[in-house]
Amino acid sequence: MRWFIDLKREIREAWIAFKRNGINSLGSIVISMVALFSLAIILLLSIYVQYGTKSIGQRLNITAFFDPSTSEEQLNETFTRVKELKTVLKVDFISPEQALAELKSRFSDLNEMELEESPIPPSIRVSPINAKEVPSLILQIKEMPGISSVTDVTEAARSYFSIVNVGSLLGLALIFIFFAGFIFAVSASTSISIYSYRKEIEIMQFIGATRAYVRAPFLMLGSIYGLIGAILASFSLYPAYRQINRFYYSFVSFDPIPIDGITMMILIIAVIILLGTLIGSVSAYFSVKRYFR
Amino acid sequence: MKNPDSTFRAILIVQDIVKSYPPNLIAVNHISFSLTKGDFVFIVGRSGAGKTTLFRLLSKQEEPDSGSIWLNNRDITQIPRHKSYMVQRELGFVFQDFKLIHYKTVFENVAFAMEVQGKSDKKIKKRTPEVLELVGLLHKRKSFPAQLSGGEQQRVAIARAIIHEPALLIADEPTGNLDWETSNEIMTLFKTINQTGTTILMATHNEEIIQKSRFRTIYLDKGKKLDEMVY
Repeated sequence: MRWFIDLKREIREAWIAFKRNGINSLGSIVISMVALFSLAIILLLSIYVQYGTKSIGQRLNITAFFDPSTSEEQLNETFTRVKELKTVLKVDFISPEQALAELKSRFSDLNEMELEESPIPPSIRVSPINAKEVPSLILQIKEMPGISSVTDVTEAARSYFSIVNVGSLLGLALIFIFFAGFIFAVSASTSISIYSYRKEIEIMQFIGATRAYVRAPFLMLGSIYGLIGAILASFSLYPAYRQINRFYYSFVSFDPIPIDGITMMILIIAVIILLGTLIGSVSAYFSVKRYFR
Repeated sequence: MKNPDSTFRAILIVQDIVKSYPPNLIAVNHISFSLTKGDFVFIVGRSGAGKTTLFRLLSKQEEPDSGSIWLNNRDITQIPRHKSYMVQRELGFVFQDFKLIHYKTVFENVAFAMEVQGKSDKKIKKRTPEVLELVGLLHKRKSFPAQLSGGEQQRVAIARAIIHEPALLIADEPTGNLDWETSNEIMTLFKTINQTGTTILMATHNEEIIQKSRFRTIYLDKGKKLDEMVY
């Protein structure tokens, strides 16, 4: 029960320090909220980008054409080898007739032409597991026996990834800036609280308080800043989640995300609450360590 | 290490301690003295004589440059800084400015000393009224410091200093902020506490109190022990 009494005291003292340091406490909470909200949004986006990448990868089909003189045995062998590649999700064999029919369905003008034989060589249509695999897959398929050419979708994949990469870098930079601000704000607020508590600290030291006893309420104060910031960020997260979800499905309507929204939100909220509390107390620890040096 | 003078029940032995501050201030200069259980000793000196530095050394708020301080048969200069609370728990402190926490009641201020030391609620609830009774403030246990007179605030501070039954009570100018009559009342209280066996080391400017009390007195000047008077 001793730990419970100590915890109660730490929370009570931290709350007094919180109120005593009103404006700074508010500032620290706002900054921690912004930092944790941005982290939550970036986590949310990364989940959507991950699934989006997978989905787009499956749309970025690679078509590999065989040389017309390739034997049926060679066709089958290459087909099997491609199918066995770990980065391949699906392989379809497209016969010349099938290819012509597909072409005619897309371009109606071709229906007026009377073609006795399909001019398109036999081909395979390869769906990668992930869009990231496209460039290496193209290189591997090009080297296989009987393959004469491969439709290069590398550029499309590259454009997609350069957008994702720039977005990720920007996101990381924002997280870094916001978190640096978060640490600085909590640390500064804790320093002010410690200063406003200097009389009590002096008394505590004279009456035999351990270092941990004196320091604990300030670490608790940092945690409270982080916790309240995380809770406020969590409230703002739901509208943001709805917007991102709507935006995602306007592009990738055919491939729903396999995690349901509530589970995803609970996970992200748990992460930001844990991280907010932890970073809050670590930031406070910097000030405490400096003061009690 | 063993107390060099443990034979005569010494509570405190200060041995040749020196404390200096840059660039060239020697605040405590080779001071030695000892207290036995039940002693009441005055430390007298003008501002800058080294009284406060001496008290800071005794409470491990500062470390001496050289010399040793034995408290209850233990050289406290050998105790690491982060364990200074072990020394402070054997001492009680009373200050000129009372050092009470304004948002705590009289009861809470006094109980705080036991709370900080991790004593159980049961013990705190038993001991706090006893000490408040001793200092004559049980009826004001629910008051806040701002609602008390200077003398009453000092009584609260005294109650807080003795609640854990310290080996040594250190009082730094405890009557410095009080009028003549209240000072006498506070001195009477200190004498009562001393009679229960508590050793007291008190810094004071008040010659009248010293003359009236006629306790052993150590005179300091510019960090040095000038004289010692035993009545």
